[in-house]
Amino acid sequence: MSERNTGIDDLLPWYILGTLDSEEQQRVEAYLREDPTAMEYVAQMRPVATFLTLSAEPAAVSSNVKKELFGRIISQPPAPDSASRWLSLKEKLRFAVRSQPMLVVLSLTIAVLSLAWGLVLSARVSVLRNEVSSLQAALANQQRVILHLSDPGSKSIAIAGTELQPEASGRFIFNPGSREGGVIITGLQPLPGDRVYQLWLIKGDVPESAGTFTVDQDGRASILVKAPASISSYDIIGVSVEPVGGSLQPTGEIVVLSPLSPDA
Amino acid sequence: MDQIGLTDEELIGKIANRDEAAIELLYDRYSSAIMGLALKILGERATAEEIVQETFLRVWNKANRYDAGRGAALSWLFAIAHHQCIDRLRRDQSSMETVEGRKVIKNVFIEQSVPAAAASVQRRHLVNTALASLPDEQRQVIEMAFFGGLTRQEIARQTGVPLGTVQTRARLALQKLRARLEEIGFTDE
Repeated sequence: MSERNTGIDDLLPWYILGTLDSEEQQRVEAYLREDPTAMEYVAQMRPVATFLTLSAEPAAVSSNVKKELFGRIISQPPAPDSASRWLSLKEKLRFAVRSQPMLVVLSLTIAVLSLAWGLVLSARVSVLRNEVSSLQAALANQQRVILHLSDPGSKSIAIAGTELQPEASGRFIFNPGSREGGVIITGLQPLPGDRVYQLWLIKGDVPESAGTFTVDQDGRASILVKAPASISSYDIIGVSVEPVGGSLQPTGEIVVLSPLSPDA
Repeated sequence: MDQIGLTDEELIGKIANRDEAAIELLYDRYSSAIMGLALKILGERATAEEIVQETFLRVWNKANRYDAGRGAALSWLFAIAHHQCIDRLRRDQSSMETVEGRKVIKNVFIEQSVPAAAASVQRRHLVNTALASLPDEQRQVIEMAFFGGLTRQEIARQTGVPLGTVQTRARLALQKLRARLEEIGFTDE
């Protein structure tokens, strides 16, 4: 055993001799569940403890001890199964309510508050998890947009706001043969919570949705565009204001509209 | 049904099913051995009797947790008794400001260990002979731990021996006792 987990192996003789503290004992028992070699050592050595016990000279026990013991045994309830444990808990609770009502009320209040606090924390964790997932998705999209920016085969066209939002401007970067590109846009007005911007790629007079997006407080957004067909097959890129979730056709104000003729 | 011929393991099985006759039989078999152990460790009759009672009450309540795959019923029973003794010893010592109390315990057990006159029973004679065959320093470690309830650090401190040496002595002593058990054909089953 010298090449093994020496620290905990050193505890095994003391485990056999029954002199570990409870924390060490728990550690050893966890170790024994995982390590068959250690378990085998303990199984081999355990009879030594029995053997040591027998070195003590037997001594008579007074008859009262047996009498008291069997009095206690008889007064005990039958073997506790899960149902009777529950009943026993109910009995204990009933007794506690009768004997120390204030303490019970206080304990229950603390338990309820702890539970409520636990639920609040759990809900908060869930919200944070969702936020982390959204941020991870946004980050992945940003990385895809950056890839398009750095692709030497990409083309870039300028896009501009309509008279409704003339400050809006940006660039659409895409590889003409692919269905994916990136839009970087600034100057769009932040929208109320029930509205989003929706990106459209228009072929002839047929608009096809390329996703929805929102902007930050400075009106900026970086959008990964996924087109239903090769981007070079479209004529125009546009952005409209739509209800959250997007629309099948543009229904709100058109705030960006630009032809897809590469200018760079 | 006559239960006298039942093994300890069979009795524990019946105790798990709340068989009062079975716990009584187990008590009759081993209460005096446990009393002897408790007296040797605690040195006080009333406390030793409490240990006997608590041990069998624990057996009554925990028999369904006994796992025959992990050792003989006798080992399990004695381990419960020993654990109760050491717990009680430590509790009592901590309530009497430990150091002096532990010194007393140490002296009692080192000086009284392996009583040569206690060989009236063959098995106990063999046990004590095996213990006596250990080198003094190894036997001292075993007795300070098992009967004195001292931790390895406390043994190192009280004997003035490095902790590593105490560890080695304990391991060697157990190995030798185990080998001796095999030679004499001792089994706890």
